[in-house]
Amino acid sequence: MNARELLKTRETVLLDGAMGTMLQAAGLPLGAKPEALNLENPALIESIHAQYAAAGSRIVCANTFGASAHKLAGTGYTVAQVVAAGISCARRAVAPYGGLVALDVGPLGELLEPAGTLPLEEAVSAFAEIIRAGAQAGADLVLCETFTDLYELKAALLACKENCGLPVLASMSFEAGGRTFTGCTVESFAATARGLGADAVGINCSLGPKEIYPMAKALCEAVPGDYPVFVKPNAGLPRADGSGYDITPQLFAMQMKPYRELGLFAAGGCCGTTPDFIRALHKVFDGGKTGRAAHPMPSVLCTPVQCVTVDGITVVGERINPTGKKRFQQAIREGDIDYVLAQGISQAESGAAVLDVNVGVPGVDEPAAMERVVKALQSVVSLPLQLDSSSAAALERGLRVYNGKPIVNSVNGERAVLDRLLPLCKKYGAAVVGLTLDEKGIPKTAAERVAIAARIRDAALAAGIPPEDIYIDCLTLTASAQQEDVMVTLDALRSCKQELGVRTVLGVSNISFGLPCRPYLNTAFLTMAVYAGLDLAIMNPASEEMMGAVYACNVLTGRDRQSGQYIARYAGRQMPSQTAQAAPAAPPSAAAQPAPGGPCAPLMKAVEQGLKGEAAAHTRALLAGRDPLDLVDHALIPALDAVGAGYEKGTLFLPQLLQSASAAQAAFEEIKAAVAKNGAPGASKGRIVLATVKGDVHDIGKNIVRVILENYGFEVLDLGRDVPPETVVEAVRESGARLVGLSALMTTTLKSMAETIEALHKAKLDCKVMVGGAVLTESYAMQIGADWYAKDAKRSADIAKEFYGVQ
Amino acid sequence: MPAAVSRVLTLERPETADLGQAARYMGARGEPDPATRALLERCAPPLLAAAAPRAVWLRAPVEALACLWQGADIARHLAGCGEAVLLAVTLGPGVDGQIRRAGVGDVAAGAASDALASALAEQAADRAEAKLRALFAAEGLHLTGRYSPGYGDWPIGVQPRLAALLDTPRRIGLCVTDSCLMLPRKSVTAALGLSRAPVTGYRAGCAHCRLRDKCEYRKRGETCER
Repeated sequence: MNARELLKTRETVLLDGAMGTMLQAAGLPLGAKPEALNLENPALIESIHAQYAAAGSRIVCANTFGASAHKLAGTGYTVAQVVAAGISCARRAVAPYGGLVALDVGPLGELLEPAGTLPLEEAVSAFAEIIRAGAQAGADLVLCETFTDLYELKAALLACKENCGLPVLASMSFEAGGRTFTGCTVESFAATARGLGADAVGINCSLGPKEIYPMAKALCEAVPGDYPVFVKPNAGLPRADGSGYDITPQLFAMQMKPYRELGLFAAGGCCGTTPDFIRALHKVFDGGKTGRAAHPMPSVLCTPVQCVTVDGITVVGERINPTGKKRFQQAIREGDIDYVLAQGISQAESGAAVLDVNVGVPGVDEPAAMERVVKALQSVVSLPLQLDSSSAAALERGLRVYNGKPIVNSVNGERAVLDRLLPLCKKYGAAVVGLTLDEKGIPKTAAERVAIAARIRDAALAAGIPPEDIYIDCLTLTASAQQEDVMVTLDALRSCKQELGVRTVLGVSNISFGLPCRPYLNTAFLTMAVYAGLDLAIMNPASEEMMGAVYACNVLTGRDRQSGQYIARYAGRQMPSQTAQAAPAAPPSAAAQPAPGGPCAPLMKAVEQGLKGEAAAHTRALLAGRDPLDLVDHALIPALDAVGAGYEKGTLFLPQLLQSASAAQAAFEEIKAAVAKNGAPGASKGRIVLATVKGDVHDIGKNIVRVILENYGFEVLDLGRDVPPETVVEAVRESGARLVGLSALMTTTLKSMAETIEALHKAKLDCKVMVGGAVLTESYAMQIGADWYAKDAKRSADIAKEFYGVQ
Repeated sequence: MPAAVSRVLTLERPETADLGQAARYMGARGEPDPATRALLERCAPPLLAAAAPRAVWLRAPVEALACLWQGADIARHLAGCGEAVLLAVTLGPGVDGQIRRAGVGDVAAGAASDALASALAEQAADRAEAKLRALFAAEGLHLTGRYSPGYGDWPIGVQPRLAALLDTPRRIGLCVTDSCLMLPRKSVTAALGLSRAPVTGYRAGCAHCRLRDKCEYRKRGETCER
């Protein structure tokens, strides 16, 4: 029986137990690499596999868990050597028993971006090397196990699917709280791994059978009844004295008995288990049946830490979208990622459950922008994303780097569009939105829209997308222009939901375009749509009226049991209309009062005192009838100079300097918005490229320098952290910046700084370099060819002013 | 040698952050001013919620870990100890994420969160050390203080080896890059001496410190010790 047949078998099969435990018992010295033994002591490895095969293991895992190039560095062996030797040890051992050999793939031991520095594609390549070697050596299947980072598991699964045709089993390790080290939930793991094409999902290591059982049960509930699930628990928990694990084979077998109800495809053991444990398991699972009764599958969207079940009204934040927003367009064009992130964070705080991401701005490389924004957003918000584009290239870049299970917005009834985009959704395990329009445009009748929806659903199913991942958008048209279409949309929505069994989506706010007091219309339409069966409402979560309708609908439809969420949100709150009546007239704004020291004095004071909210409010007031850039020169810079002088004198310290910088930052955001609105180009006092060098991720200092330089009116191209020298060179060449700032915090990364400066000099670019960082000294800065040593952020601003001749 | 297998130590999430220490890390002198204290108080709750402290340690004869002992200072620290304890503590990746999030559009909140997280990492390491101390006291054994790579002349270049011995990626999700960076960033590793006789270890102090020429504390006539 080959591995594919084994996956469909009706009886639970046995995996093996621990390799490491057996090797330690055989005297593996501290710090030795177990995988090297495939070549150095193959007889030992083979004998361990043989013991497991004799104990009843139908699948044994080759000794390749840590066979990545990174982990093998220093052993003198290549990945191909270690993997081939490992597979052949296992193959020889199982031959007499007719067992199968799994290529065992463990984590790389490096943390992926954004938590770490390893880019996804490098992880994919590292796994691909192992997987190609395993397939070449004749492995029957691949087991990716002990993963704790969902993103790394994604890299491994992509590598499997792109480099071999073998079945792949995916397993993660959870802690007692039901999450992995990186916070990944069982549900997120199930949705993501299944979406990426894992043939089975499982849980291994970390805990014993008793502790893993509830998680295994949750895992079974998160996948269809006929989808294979497996477990490999430890031999209980570690004993306090460090002498191994606390349960015997008999106890292990007893604790495994409840698993028989889960219809496991396979069971085995992890740390601390031995062939005796497998023998004991044999009795437990003898004649055990696989699979569970079919159950309705929930529609989920997820990131590692947040799994959103879409069942009834779910808010999708619409603000990350350039349509009609000049400031947003400018931010995307200038790569001002912080602005986009701020939009994401504020929508999350307002109660969005999913964020729509659209970065299509004319003249911008949309695929690159999509990748950048998806990665950046996922580094600061944990909500699932809806990737919104009509460009297959942009969607693929976003889908590839996305961590979790996203939703694609959108396909439509056009055959070519379906053929282009559905395979991408399938490959990356994304849910998909289908718009009810096609080559002929938007149909006038509900029946025609439903017909297109049915076509989209059938095409998605044919592409292998599960029914619960299909969402239909019956299209909101504006009530001002196409009043008669409003009810058509809602009728079509109701039919799709009831007749096609799909989830539904609407862009709600479009209904009110061109009419006054839009929240009234938006809220009424939203409420009607919820009654018709709307699941995803794409809307502005900052709209208190609409969010109120969402919470109210959840009470009225019985989703919000005992009105708990509604009460939590609204108890003690006054209605806006009541507040308006009760409150006296708002006091005149600060800027309207005659201010001593000129009109800018209150803004300057707010900046000097580090008051963010007040700085923004004063700026808004001052912007009426004043040149925005004038404010920079006559308010922000003098205020920052005053703070800087105090810092130099030692009358105030870094925390105050930072708070002033934050206040100026808030003021600057108002100025940028005003400039974008006027359509005038922002006057730059000079362009500066900033980077934290390769190998270093300590970027707090660099971020402070960026904000202070921006506050002084410089145009900063922030390349981020862990930036390779060639990226700095490229950015300087492309932008024509004449000043570069580099930071490094660690003694080990100063070398990268020297290499970056050398690369800039070699490229003969007309630019000067300032450097900074905790372990740097003036003399070392000079030694590595820097033009300036900036001992702090204040000094870097002084250098920039001096260099660009700014007064 | 079963005792050389690393073991996970359960750590509770700290309930409060040491705001005074965080203010110091942020660059404040003495007690933080009201605005800075308010900023730290605003940034602390989400960080505490994001923190998932974990620790792993192992105990082995000093000579079994010979590959780690580079330089004179760590040797002096372990003098008189037949065994050593290696310890690694991390706050987990959620803290790094929260620092990034806090810093979006608000550089002061980013820096304050970073400083708070550094203080929390120290608190977690203190807690882990106290637990180990109690554990060994029950056996009649004494521990020195913590000594971390980068102190004195003990190079941070030993970091990858130390992490590999403790199996930190698998035990607590802590990875070390080729440039010896610990990820998640807010993590602490250390070696402690273990002895039958009371020992204190030896803090390198400023004389051997790599940062002695540019240390802000030294310029003010202070030390980085509390």
